[in-house]
Amino acid sequence: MSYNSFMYLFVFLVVAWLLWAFAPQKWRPGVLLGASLVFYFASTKRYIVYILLAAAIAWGVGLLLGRLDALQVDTRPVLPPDRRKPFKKEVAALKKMAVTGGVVAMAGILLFVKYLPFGARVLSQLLESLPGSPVFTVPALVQPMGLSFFTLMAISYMVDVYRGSCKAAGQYWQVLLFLSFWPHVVEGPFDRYGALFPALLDPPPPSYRNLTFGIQRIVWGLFKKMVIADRANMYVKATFDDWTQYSGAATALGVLLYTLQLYAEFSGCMDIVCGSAELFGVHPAENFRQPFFSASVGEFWRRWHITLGAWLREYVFQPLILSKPMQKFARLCRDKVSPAAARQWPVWAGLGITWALIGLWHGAGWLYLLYGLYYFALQWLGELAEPALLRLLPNLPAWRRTRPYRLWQVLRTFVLVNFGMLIFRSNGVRAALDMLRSLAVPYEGSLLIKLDARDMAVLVVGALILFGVDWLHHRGHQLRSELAARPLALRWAVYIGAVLSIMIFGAYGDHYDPAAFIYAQF
Amino acid sequence: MRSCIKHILHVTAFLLVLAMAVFLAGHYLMPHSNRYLSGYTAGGILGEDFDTIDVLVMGDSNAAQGISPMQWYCDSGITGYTYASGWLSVYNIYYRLRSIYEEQTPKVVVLCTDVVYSRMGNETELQAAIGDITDELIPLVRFHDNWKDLTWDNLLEEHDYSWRDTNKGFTPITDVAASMRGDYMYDDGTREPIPLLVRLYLDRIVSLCEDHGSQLLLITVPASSSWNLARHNGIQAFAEENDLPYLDYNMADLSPDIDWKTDTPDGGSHLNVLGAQKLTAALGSYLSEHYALEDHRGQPGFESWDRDAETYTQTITDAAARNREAADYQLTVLG
Repeated sequence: MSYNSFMYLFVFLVVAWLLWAFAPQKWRPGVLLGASLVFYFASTKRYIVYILLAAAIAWGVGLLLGRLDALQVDTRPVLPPDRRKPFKKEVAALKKMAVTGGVVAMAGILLFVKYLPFGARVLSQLLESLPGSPVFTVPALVQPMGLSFFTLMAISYMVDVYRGSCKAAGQYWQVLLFLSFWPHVVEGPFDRYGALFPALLDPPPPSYRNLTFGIQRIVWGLFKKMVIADRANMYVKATFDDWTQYSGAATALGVLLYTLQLYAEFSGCMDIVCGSAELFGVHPAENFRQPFFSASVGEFWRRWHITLGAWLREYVFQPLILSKPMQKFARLCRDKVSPAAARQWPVWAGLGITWALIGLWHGAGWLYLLYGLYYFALQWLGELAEPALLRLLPNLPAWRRTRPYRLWQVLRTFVLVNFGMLIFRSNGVRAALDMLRSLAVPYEGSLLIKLDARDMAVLVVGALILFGVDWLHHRGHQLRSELAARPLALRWAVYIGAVLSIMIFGAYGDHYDPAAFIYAQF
Repeated sequence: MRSCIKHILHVTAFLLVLAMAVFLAGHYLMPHSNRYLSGYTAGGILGEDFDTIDVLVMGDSNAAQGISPMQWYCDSGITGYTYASGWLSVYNIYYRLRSIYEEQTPKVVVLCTDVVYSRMGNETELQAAIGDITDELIPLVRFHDNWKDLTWDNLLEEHDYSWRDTNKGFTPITDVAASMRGDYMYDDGTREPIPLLVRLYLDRIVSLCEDHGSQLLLITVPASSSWNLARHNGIQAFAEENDLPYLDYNMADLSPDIDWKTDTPDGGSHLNVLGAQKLTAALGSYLSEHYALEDHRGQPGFESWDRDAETYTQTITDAAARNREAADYQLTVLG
């Protein structure tokens, strides 16, 4: 059931909201769980077993961690003083074993289903130079919807309980509701149990404001998806799938439109799901904060798919940096190279691994690894070049505070991100390199590929509206609240205009080939 | 409570204004001419004078390329129209038939049953039903893309729905591409059930015809690549349940002698002019024998039909000649 389908918007959401709104308060979490399971089952059928299993593992580990904490609190005071420290150590070791087991189990499921065929291929390639080496082939398994999302959320739940940042769920259904909550199970955002669950368990009563604001956000998301992203998809599909036929401006426009498509689609999807959750008084984490106004690729990734970056920072990068092998590596750098290297090199090693994981999270393949490492290389080279730049341009720090320089940084970031998008969307590493080369070859055909001039005009106007709204948000405006304070006639004109623009300019029907949500594949 | 009622009234008023805006926009974006109301030339039926069509054929592209009502007029004065276009579904047909009844009172409605089982490959039954029904109930959804046809010149132009099709909904195709499938109606003992929602709308079509005093006739246009005995059995069962006559021209006993080497333009999916002439003649004979259909030739009020018949005769003669040439070439290639 796609988030922009008639079934979801006009049947599922309406029925779920009515049941939720008219249910007694204590039944409301049950209604949300029922709706989530219906949504998940309707899309995946028997593969629902994966999420049931993930919830069982996370709940079991959480429960064990909670019991160990309780045991420590109850038992420690009655122990003789000399037994207290060893007892604390024993409990800590048991907790570590429990959480490690849970994380390994969850990561194991993800690796087995998503990465095993790729791993087997890599192993075969590595061994092929050896005489009589075996060839490993593993058939690709069906990946259940949202696997990459709910396994990481399950891991974050277990680690949070281990760290004491949230209390363990007492009931299995509570973890199941958190993991399967339909607005975030397909494409995220990666919510944290401690932040989301209070609203799921004890939501505010149905309110007119939540209802209207939720619907407004859904409509805005539909505009991005149906008017901009699905229209751009036609051009993008032609230029990327048939890349040998195009070059120069046609390829560049294809890359530009893919960036627009991906942003409009992914952020549009987030608007639809956050708007859906808002109807029920729940506010998932935000995944985008006007990323195209970023001054560097690092800032871009703090504003684009925010919750993935935050998840990897908190559960991969930081533990990695603080891990014993990395401390050892830091000492080695200090002894063999310099104290500065001891500060920098472990951080770069951690960042390299984290970026590789960001790439591979999107899919099992060399292309995705290249995608992640591209961003790592940009940041690394930027840092390496910084001292030389400062020596060359002593006024650089002062310039960086000026508006024209900020504009240059934003444009530079935009161009670099577009190259990243080229890698991300292309059909393999070789195709990406071909497309990069073809950018320098002039294209003499028409740029109206699969789209006519009017479609292009809609894309331009749509992009101006999209980035115009982003700009206003960037400047601190709260557009929905500000609009709600305007006269009725103006509000209704805006709302009706938005609905009509989706219905009229939406890329649906016989002449279009709408794409499925891109991130739903990951 | 008062605030709740206020909100309900507020939402209701908004939805009413929105609905009006949607319907006004939908009306505005409808094609300026009935020529473009539907695929092929189905929209031409709106240009016909009221209550002049005695036989209404409804179906998808198989019907549009396979049944030529003007041939009936030339042969026996029966007035008919083929309202058919590509991928027209049972849901579309129900709503289109309802609107056709506002202008016409056909004595016989011929429903081509290919539509019962045809569906775009990537859609589920429910998705297809929702999509088609929404198209019919909200014109803006169906015609939304017509904003591209708006120019400064036609921005304020009135709709003109007086265009008439001299071929009466038939689209002559003169290409030839043989079907080599052999016997496609072999008995494997199965019956393909009619999908639930399709069945519901078939029942509604049956009731609609009864309410308007039309006799419903089910037929299946020969199509070697998409029809089989399991589907025939499904339709046969439906026809028996509803006491409806059913002619499956794919069956040997009713065969209009379609030659699959020469009478199809696309390997057996559709009929070309040669195939359509055979099928139309066979169906015309059945209509003449089983229904009391008037000969309108030379009658006052049907002058335009007499003129159309002359144009049609010229068109079909040329088309048949071209088709025969292509068929001869095909036979040469096949040896």
